[in-house]
Amino acid sequence: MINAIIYTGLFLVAFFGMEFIAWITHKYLMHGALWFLHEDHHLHPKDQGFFQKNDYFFLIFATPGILLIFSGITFEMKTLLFLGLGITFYGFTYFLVHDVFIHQRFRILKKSDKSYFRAIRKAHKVHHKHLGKEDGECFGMLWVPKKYYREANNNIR
Amino acid sequence: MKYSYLIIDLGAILVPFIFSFHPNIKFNKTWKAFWLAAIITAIPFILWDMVFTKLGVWGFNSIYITGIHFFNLPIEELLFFICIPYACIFTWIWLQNLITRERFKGIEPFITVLLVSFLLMGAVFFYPRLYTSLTFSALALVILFFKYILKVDWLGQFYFTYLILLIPFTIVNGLLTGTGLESPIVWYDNTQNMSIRLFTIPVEDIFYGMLLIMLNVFLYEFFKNKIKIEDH
Repeated sequence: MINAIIYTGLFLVAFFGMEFIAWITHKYLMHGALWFLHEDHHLHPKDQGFFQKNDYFFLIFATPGILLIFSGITFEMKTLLFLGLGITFYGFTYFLVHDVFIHQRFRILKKSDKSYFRAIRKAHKVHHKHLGKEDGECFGMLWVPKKYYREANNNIR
Repeated sequence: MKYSYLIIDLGAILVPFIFSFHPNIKFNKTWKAFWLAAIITAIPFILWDMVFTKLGVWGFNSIYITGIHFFNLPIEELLFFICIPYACIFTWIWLQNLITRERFKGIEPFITVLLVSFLLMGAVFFYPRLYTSLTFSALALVILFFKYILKVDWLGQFYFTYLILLIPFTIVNGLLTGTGLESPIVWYDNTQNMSIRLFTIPVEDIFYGMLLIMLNVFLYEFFKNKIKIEDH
């Protein structure tokens, strides 16, 4: 029982910790030294093919999760396994929300009336309003500032 | 004695802590940057430590630790990743006051190339000795990333600082690996390292420490500048 709580806790720490890591790496690395890989994600959708250079970040960000799950299983260390699962599930959620729902790279999950999903779309639109590397805003992903809920709700009325 | 490792941790931080408030150093003004840097760096190091402890690459002698554990690591080992970086960042600040960054710009590329080549050759040659291969390849990759992708301007200064830091490093790691004690506080399995010891210290420790401090310096400088910009 106590173990179940610890491992669930580790999973959640990794999952929510990744939002901070995603925010800080997006803001300072992707819009910083690694902009050359992120740049084409900020092009107009018409100028993008199916794959973007930005997709290399899937490989980069998957690495810690892979290493943790691999070590967790190979060395029988549940601590690492659950941290790895938390990171990987964050990545999967990010993919669903960012690539599928927001950017519609697959034509599913098109509409949602939930205010959370309207707000998240709004916030990410604001991030993409800036086409350059500097002066961006809204670098987070799953955590949406309150003002976008208000704006999203106002638009509906 | 079961407080030995704890005393070493606290001993390492004592003098740097007292002099943190010195008007020429004022480390306390940038504590926030230090905490962020130390905690973020500690995460991968603790995970790595847990794996190596589990695999028996190294381990802890139960007569020198309090017995409080975080998963399979003694609490003293976690404190190590805060106390040692604290003392080293303190030294970093102190030495920056004494010597300008430009001073080591000329020699820096030469050291970088030599160091990275040495590390990569060592990593391949001593494979699959885990401590050697993992430490050497991780440090080589981090140096290359800092120099060619992030293009940081403090590498030369860092090499110089680390050279000075090797003096307290030898004392602290000497004690930890058993110099002057009946048995080591932290023991190492020699089949997982090059089995070359500096007194009692495995040579890999020098590069492991370099990686730890380099990541701390990078994040400290990064957060310090960000916080400064946001305050203005």
